[in-house]
Formats: sequence, structure tokens, C-alpha cells
Amino acid sequence: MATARCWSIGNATSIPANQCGFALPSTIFLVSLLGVVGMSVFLLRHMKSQLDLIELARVRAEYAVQSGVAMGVTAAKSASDLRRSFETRLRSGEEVIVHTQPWGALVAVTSTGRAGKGTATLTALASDAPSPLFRQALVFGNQSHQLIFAGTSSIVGDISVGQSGASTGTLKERPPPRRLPVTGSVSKVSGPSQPLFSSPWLTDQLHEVLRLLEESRSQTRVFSNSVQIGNSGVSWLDPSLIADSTEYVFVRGDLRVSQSIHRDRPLRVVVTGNVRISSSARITGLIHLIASGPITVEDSVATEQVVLSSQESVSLEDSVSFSGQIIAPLITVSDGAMCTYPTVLLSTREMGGSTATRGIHLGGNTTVEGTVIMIPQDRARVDEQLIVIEPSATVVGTVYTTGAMTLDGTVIGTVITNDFYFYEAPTQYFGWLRSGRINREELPRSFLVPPGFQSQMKLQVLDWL
Amino acid sequence: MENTIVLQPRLKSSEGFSLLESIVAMALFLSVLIPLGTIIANALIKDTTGTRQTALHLAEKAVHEAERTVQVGKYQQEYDGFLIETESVREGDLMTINITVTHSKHVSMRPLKLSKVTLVGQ
Repeated sequence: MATARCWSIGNATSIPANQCGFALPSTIFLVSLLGVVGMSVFLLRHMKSQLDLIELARVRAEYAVQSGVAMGVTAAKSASDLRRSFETRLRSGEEVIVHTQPWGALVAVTSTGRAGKGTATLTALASDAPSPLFRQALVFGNQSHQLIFAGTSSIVGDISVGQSGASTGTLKERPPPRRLPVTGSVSKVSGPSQPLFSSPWLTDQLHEVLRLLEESRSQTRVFSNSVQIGNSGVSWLDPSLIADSTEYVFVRGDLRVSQSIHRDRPLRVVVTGNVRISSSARITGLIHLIASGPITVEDSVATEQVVLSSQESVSLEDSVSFSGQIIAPLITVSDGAMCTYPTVLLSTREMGGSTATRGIHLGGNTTVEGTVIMIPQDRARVDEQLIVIEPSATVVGTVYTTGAMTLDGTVIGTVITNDFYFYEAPTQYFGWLRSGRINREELPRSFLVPPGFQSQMKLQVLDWL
Repeated sequence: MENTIVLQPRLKSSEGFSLLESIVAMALFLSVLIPLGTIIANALIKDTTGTRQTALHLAEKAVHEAERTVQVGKYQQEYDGFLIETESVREGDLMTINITVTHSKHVSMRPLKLSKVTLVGQ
């Protein structure tokens, strides 16, 4: 009789080949199948449970970082609070680390939250709530002469002028308004009515900028986490050379930027020559571009949150879509350029440089949403350091100068100036408004100004990165 | 008669093994199935995963509601067996919101807690 080795337990060699049966194999197969199915169900549920826990940790971490930003923003009350870090723990157990630092004329608040396995980091730009003075449409600081309205100039909102008051006047081919074109109250103030823009952290940063430029030229200091590019010729900024940990890029000579760059951590690019940002570039995040020569932003470039600092000038060409801060002695915004909120244009004597002409020039059809500030040099001629807002140019926000400005365009917001100025050959006019319009009532209530106009800050979130 | 003599050894040799095999198979089967069944049943009946997800959703909703209304104090809401406790405290421009969500049926599920500090009065 033929026998076979069957699937069995014990000595089953005597089982005939045709009687092996399938009980054990089928049972083992069934058990395995059920086991696999059962374990799969269990594993799937376990994985889903883990994913839910991860999702919960993520939500808690996100809430923690948002909480950190809120706490960081409210903790900064004065200039000394702007460079600090603190750690805290929320009641539900999340750990939060908050770091506050000046970012140009604004403040960057970075918050890192940890909840179980979830970690999140968030950076917000913060700015100051405007003081009651910014409720006015115009603060005209000059005490020695009148504010005179001519032509089509008009103001919607309250104004504050010196003891000489305000009146209407006639210019060549510009008839005077029939009555004072102010739809608000006119307050006469004796003594200085302009707030001083005092920003010690900005001054510190500008000194740091100048030091970086000097050290880049002389190569006297070795920076960790830095990259060196170029050797006096023209270099191209290659984002692939910049690691996440890189804090400084030093460029000897001129720089061209044509690629897209984004940074969540601060990066300072220090250039000893000129900078040209070409049309295809898109620069976003915490990037501070510092140049000793002029910076030119070509048309169609898009930027967000960046800071451009030059010892000479920054020019935005036609059709640029800019959002960020510009700090330079001379700032030119060409026709058709758009600077979206929150933009800060700051011309200050503290940037040094050799350029004779300073000021801010907003060409026709430009729009600037944000703050325009010019701090003139004490002994320079008025016409060499002006804010010029051409007809059809619009500023939505605040224009501030302790010098003079030529206002022929529109300001939706507040103008704080020591004087108005324009030149029509052969005469220089001081205190005259010939076609400028100011409308305070149309400014959105949520508008913020850079910290520095009041000693006690009340920071609020301006933009999220 | 001859057939009986021929078949008997075959039956004898196969009956013992088939019983043992069945017992072993059953034992194996049950040893896997019982714990597995228990786990699956627990998972299916309790469904803590779904409960946790709903609890998180309700907690987030409660945070948004507290931010929107800026309501300060302690208050409770019930929704489909869930108890949502909100505690909001305001200090200056900051409002601290603490949310605790529990479920009346799933007592074993740890209460879900969510905290957020938010800016108010902007």
C-alpha cells in the first residue's frame, strides 16, 4: 500500500496517499488568514488612533505658537523689550518659546510650540497701534507761516496747524478754493506738535548694517554660519548655496538676484557693490539685503517681508509688486509700482552714504500702502531732501517727515510734516498745498505704524510669515 | 468480509490523527481568535478614535467661539454626549482660553484639553 508524508502531527507516515485530508492545512490557513485580517484591522485602528493623536498634537502645537506670538507681542512695551526670549507653559501642558527681535523698522516675534510629538514654529511681524495724534488728517508743524490751500487741494478730517493758522491763496492758473477745503476741525497749536520718531533699536540695526558693510569690505571679522560669494566682479545669488542655518551671505562686488528665495529664519545678504533684482525673482520671508551701492528692483519682481538697505539709493521700477521695508537715503518708486501693506519706506540720515540727494519720490500711478518716513539732515537744503508725492500717486497710511514734502497726489490717512514745499519757476513755495488731497476717514481702522512714535508701545500683529 | 479486513487498518490509522489535528487546530484557532476578537470588539464598541476626533473638533469650535464672543468666565455646553467646558480669563489685551472636552459614555477616554492665549481688543 502506498503511503505519503501528510500535513499532520505525530507519526502519520502510515496514512495512505489518498487519505491525507486537508483538515490541518486548511485550519492553519484559516487561522492565519483570520489572524492577518484581525491584526490588520487592529493595526489600522491603531494607526488611525496614532494619526489622531498626531493631529491633536499638531493642533495643540499650533495653538501654542499662536499663543506665544500673542504673549510676545503684548510683552514688548518698550525698546528694551525688543530683544528678548522667554519660555512658558500653557495650562494644557504645551511648551512655548518666544523670541522677539527688531526687523527693520518693525518687530519680528518668533514662537516655537511643543505639544507631545507635535512641534510648530511661527513668525509674525508686529507693529505699533497709532497714537491719538494719528487720528488727524494733517499735523502741520511749522510755526512760522500759514498753511495755504490753493487749486484743488482738500482735506477730509481734522488738522492741526501752528499759531499762524490756515487760509486759502491764489497761484498762477490755480484759483483759490471758495472756502477752506477742510471737512474737519482746525486746531491751532503753539509749540511743536509733531511727534518725534525715535527708534533706538532701528538705530542699533543701522549701525550694525554699516558695521557689516565695513567688515565685509575689510574682512576683519569671521562669521560663523556665513557664505562668501564673488571677488569684486558681478555675482549671482544662488539659493542652493544657502543652507537653512546660514545667517550671513557676504558678496564682494555687485550682485544679481534672479531666482526665487524664501527664508523663515533671518538671512542677511551683505553686498559691497550694487544690487539688481531681476524680473523673474521672487523674494519672500526674513531676508535683509544690505548694499553699499544702489539697489534696483526691476519691473515684475515680487517681494514680501524683505528689508532692502542701501547706503545710496533703492529704486523700484515700473510694475514692481513690493511688500517690505526700504531703508536708504534716496528711495524712488517709479510709475505704476505697487507697494502693498505693510510697506515701510524710510529715508534716514543714519544710513550715511555719499549721495547728495536724499528723500523719497513716489512717481505717477504708484500706490504705497504703509508708512513713508523721512528724517532729513539738519543742515541740508530743503529741496534736496523731500518727500515728493506726484499727481496720481497714492499713499494709504502715514507720511511723516520732520522736513518738507511736496504733496500733489493723494494720502488716505495721516500726513505729519513740518512743511509743504514746491517750486514753480522762479519761486519756491513753503506751506502751500496746490493739488494734494488728504482723506483720513477712508483709512482702515486696523492700520498700524512702526514703533517709535510713542515711548509706550502697544504692539499688534501686522503680518504672518 | 474481505472488504472489512482491508479497510480496518486504514480507519484505525487515520481516526486518531484527525482528532488530534482538530483539537490542535481548534486550540490554535481559539488562542488567536479570542484575544483578537476581544481587541476588535473593544475597538469597535468603544470607538475612542472617532470620539477623540469629534472631541478635538468641538474643542476647536469652542476656542473659535470664545475668541469671537470674547466671553469671559466659566461655562459649559453639551453636544451629543460630549461636555465642553470653557474657561476664559482676560488680562489686559490677552485672553486665555482653556477648553476641556469629556464624553459621558467613554469614561476611559482622557479629557481632551486645549489652551490658547489670544489678543483681544485690537
